[in-house]
Amino acid sequence: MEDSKMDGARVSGRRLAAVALSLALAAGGLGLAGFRARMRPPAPSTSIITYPAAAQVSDFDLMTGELAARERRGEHPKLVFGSSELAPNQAGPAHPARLFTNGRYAIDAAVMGRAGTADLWSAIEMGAMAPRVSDRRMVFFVSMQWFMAYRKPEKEFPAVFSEGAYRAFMENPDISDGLKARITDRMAEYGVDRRAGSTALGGIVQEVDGWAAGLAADLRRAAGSDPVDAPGAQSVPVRDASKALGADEQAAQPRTPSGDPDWATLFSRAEADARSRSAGNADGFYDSWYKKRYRRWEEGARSTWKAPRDGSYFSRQELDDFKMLLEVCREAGIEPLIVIQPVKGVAYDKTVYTAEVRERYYDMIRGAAREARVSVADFSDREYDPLFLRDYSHPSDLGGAWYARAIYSWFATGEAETARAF
Amino acid sequence: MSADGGKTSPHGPEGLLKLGESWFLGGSRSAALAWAASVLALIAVLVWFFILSPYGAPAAPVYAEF
Repeated sequence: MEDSKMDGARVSGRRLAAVALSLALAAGGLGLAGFRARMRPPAPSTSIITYPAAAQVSDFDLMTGELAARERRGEHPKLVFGSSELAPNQAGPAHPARLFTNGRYAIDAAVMGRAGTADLWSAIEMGAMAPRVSDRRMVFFVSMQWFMAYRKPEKEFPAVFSEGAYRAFMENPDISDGLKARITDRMAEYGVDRRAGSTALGGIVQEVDGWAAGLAADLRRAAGSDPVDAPGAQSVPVRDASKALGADEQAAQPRTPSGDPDWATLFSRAEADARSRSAGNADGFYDSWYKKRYRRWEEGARSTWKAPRDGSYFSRQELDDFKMLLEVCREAGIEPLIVIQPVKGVAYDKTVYTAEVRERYYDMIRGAAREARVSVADFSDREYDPLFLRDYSHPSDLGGAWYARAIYSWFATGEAETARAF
Repeated sequence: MSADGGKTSPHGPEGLLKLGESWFLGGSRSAALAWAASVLALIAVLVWFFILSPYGAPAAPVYAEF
């Protein structure tokens, strides 16, 4: 009996030792791979990310590395925040994310957001980036959809949350403890809880979780290839600076003798492009979207959007996030340009978000910007301009040209040009 | 005499399964190595899922239409 007990103990001891050794081996291997991934110098980029994937916006090292690589190549990247309107390929070649690349003009666009990144995400990223850029002027596209009835920050925020950006934000000495605490509290409401644990165990769990997320990001980056391959990302090739521009390249980014964008050519071409892509309907929707998605969008909007009983069509919580973003800008020394985007008036007029209701949103954003004394590029008067938007809210090639001009003129002169005539 | 009165053939599927089970849960060095290999294989699956495959990252939001 004693012998069988000892045998049993020996068996389970041997098994335990085998499992423990293999766990230690795996942990050591992953740790070494992560360490080497961090230490390895970045491979030269062959493409410029014009619209990052979710896995990229949540990787702070990748985003800062991309900025540094562009600066090394002689570009002048300026940070542009927002959400899905930043995707250039669906719009056209005049979209700022594509137009301002490869150092063709005085500025280059470094797109820092994507679908899913709203006010809170941008506030954190801006605060994290501020100490790392020499030019703290940043562009911020604000979207009505973030404030609307169907918003789901608890679903969207965790999917794009950047652990590295949050840590960098919290380490920014210019941002007050009070603002950091409010941002952290809001993150917890949206499902990412980084508040100091009420118990030591809670704090340890959060530390381990943060460390694991960082390790996973390092390993993912080490295992990844060109940004072109990241699902959902858009990019343009890095141009060989030693070669003269070809005719196609010059045509894609036309320039005046002074080196500025040739706006007359760009607008003429963008308008023709938008017109031809929306030739099948009278409201300027790109035909590809109109035929496949418009009916579904209209039916969904009508059936799911309800007039609120208390009259609050737009989220107070999102407005508070927007105001926190403006506070981050003030404390971190960031000078923002707030771009107020329109929505497609003819589409939204069929929903509970009537023109009168939408005007309340525009007033709300203008009021907050005025209170914070920041620059605004206000395109809210373009709701019924058929060629400005290609669908319910995203810019056409022409809309992209307007945004590009506003951004360029703001960096050049301090005033964002939005006037129709030029 | 086996517990089931000799009805289970040691070479049939059930017999092989029982043999494998008793080996894997036994105390031999080869069984300990098999445990180690199983742990490493499971960790490899987790690494593939979270790091290398597109499944491990949270679903990326697309256009929030309604």
